[in-house]
Amino acid sequence: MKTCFGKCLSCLAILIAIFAPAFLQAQVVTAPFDPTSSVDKPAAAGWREGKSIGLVYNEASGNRTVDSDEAYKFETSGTSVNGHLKFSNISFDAAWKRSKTDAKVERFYESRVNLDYDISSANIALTGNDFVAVGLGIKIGNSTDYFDATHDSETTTQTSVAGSISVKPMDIFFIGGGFERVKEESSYTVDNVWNVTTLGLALMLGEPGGTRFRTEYAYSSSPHESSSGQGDLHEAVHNETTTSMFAAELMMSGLLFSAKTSEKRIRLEESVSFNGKNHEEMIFNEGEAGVLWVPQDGVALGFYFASSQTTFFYKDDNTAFKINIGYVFQ
Amino acid sequence: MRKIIIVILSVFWAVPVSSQVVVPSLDPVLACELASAIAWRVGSTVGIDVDYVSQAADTSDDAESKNTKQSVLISYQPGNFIGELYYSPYSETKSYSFGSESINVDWENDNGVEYGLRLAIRGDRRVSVGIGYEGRTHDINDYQYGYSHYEGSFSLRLFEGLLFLGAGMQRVTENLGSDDSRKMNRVLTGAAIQIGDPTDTIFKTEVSMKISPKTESDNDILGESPQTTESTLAIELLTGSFLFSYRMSQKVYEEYTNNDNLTEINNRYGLGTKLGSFTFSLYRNAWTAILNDETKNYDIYQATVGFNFL
Repeated sequence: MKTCFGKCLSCLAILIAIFAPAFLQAQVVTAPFDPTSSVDKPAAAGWREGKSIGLVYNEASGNRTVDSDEAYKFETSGTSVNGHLKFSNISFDAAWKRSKTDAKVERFYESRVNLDYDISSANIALTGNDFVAVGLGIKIGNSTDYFDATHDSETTTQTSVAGSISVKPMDIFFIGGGFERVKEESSYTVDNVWNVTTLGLALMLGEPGGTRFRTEYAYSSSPHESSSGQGDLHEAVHNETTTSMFAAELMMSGLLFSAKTSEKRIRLEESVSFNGKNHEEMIFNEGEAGVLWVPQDGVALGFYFASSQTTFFYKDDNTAFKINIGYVFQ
Repeated sequence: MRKIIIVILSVFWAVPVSSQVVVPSLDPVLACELASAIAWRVGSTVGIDVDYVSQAADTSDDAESKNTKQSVLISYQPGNFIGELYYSPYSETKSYSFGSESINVDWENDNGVEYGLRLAIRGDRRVSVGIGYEGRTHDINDYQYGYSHYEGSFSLRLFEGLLFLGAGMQRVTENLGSDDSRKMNRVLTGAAIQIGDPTDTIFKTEVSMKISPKTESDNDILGESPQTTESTLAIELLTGSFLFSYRMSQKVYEEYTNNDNLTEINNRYGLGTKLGSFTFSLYRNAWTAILNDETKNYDIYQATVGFNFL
C-alpha cells in the first residue's frame, strides 16, 4: 500500500490513463452518423458512407475536490479536426485533437493534473461484399502533466498500432473487435508496452436519407504491465484497465440526436491510502449528448453538452460545451 | 444582507429581449432568444431598438423617464445559413430594494454593454439547428459584473409550417468582483403556431418556458442564484401594413427572500407598420414586481426601426 499524498515518486508510478479525456468514442464496430466524430478502431471507418470533414471546438470548466475541499479549478479549451475519404471499398480516416487546461490552485493537494494533450490518428479500412470491414490504424498522443513539485511538467508519448475487424452477419447487426499494441515513452520513466483488446456489438436500422438508428456497446481491457526502473528513470506501470462504452444515435429528416457514455476503471496494483482510506481503483465517467443537422450533401452544424467525473482519493467534475461544424460530400 | 439582496437582484435583470424561443417575432428588429429560431426569419434585416423607462412616482418625487438602452441588430441569410448579430450598449440597470412593506425599483447608471452572435442552419425547411454566444458586462457598485453563455438549440417545422417546436440549453457563467464564477445550465423550450403568408397577412402565437436551476457560488458577492421559471405567451398579427402584438411574461424567483417568491410580470403591447421594406413599431412594456402583497409598477417604452430585404 502506498501513501500518495506527500510521496512524490509514488505518484509517478500511477500513470493513470493520461489520455482518459480522449477515450469517449464507442465507434469500434460501426461508424457514427455524426461526420464530426472520429472512429475508435480502424474497421469502423469502413462503414462510413461518404466523404466528410469535421471541426469541433470545445470549452470546459470544472474543479477537483479532496474531502470536500476545493483543490483546483480547471478551465479547458480544445479543438479537433477529422476527415474521411472513401474510394470504392477503401476508406481513409484521420483525426487530430488538442486540448489545453489551465489549472488554478485553490488549496494545494499533490496529485496528477493534465495540462495539455494532443492525439493524432490515421486509419485505413477495406470493406468486402457489404459483409466485413478490416482495418489498420496508428495513433500517437502526447500528454503534459503535473505530478509533483519535482515533476511539474512531464511529457509522455503513447504510440499505438491497432488492427480490427467488423462483421455484419445480418442487415442490422454488427459484431467486431480489435487488438492494439501500445508503447509509452517519457523522460522520467522507462518505456512500457501493453496490449488492449476490444469487442463491440452494434445495431443499425434504416437507410441513408431516411430515419436511421444506431446503437453500439463496446468493451475493452488491458492487463497490468510494468517495466523496472533503470538508472535515473523510474519504474513504468500500466495498471489493469477496463472500459465500457455506449453510443446511440437517431437521425430523422437530417436532424441527428446523439448520446454517448463511457466508464473507464483502472485497478491499481497497489492501493493508495489517503486520510485513512484505501483507494484501489480510479474511475472515469464521461457522457455527452448533442443535436446536429447532418445533410446528405452540405454543411453540418451542431452542438454537444458533455460532462465528466473522476473518482479517486480526489473527485474531478467537469462540464463542457462543444460546437461541431462539418461538411459532407456526396 | 439587504445590500447583498439588492446586488443579487440587479444582476438578475436582463435587458428586455423579445424572448422569441421557437420562431422570430413578426417585427424583424427584435432579437431571438434561441439561435435555432433565427432560421425561420424571412430575409435579412438591419434594425435599431431604443428603450425608455418611465417610473410613476409613489412618493413626493417626480416621475422619471430616461433612455435605458439602444441596440443594433443585423441578421443575414445567404441561403440556408443564417447569422444574427446583436449589440446593445445600455446606460441603466435595474435593481430592487425591499422595505418592510414596499418594493422599490432603482435605476442606476452602470455603463453596460450586451452583445450576441447566433448562427443557425435550416435543413430542408423542416428542421433547424443553432449555436450562439451572448455576453454582457456592467458596473455594480465598485465591481464589474460579467455574464456569458454558450447555447445550442434545435427546432422543428411541422404540418407545412403550421406548428413549430423548439428547445435549447444555455451554459451560463457569471462573475462579480472576483475570479470565482457562478455557472448553471438553463433550459428553454417552446411551441408556436403560425398561419398565413409573412409577406401579406400572418398570425403567430408562441408559448415558451425558460428554467434556471438554483445555483450556489463560491463568489461571496454574487451569492446564490435562486431557481427561476419564466413563462411567456406571445400573439402577433400582421395584416396589410399593420402589425399588432401582445406578449405576456411571468418570471418567478423561488424562495427569494424570507422564503417568499419574487414575481415579475410584463405585459407588452405593440403597434407597428410596414412600409415596403421598412418596419416601424412602438411598444409599451408594463412591468409589475410582486413580493408578498407588495407591488411596484413601471413602464418601458420601446421603439424599433428596421429594414428587411430578401
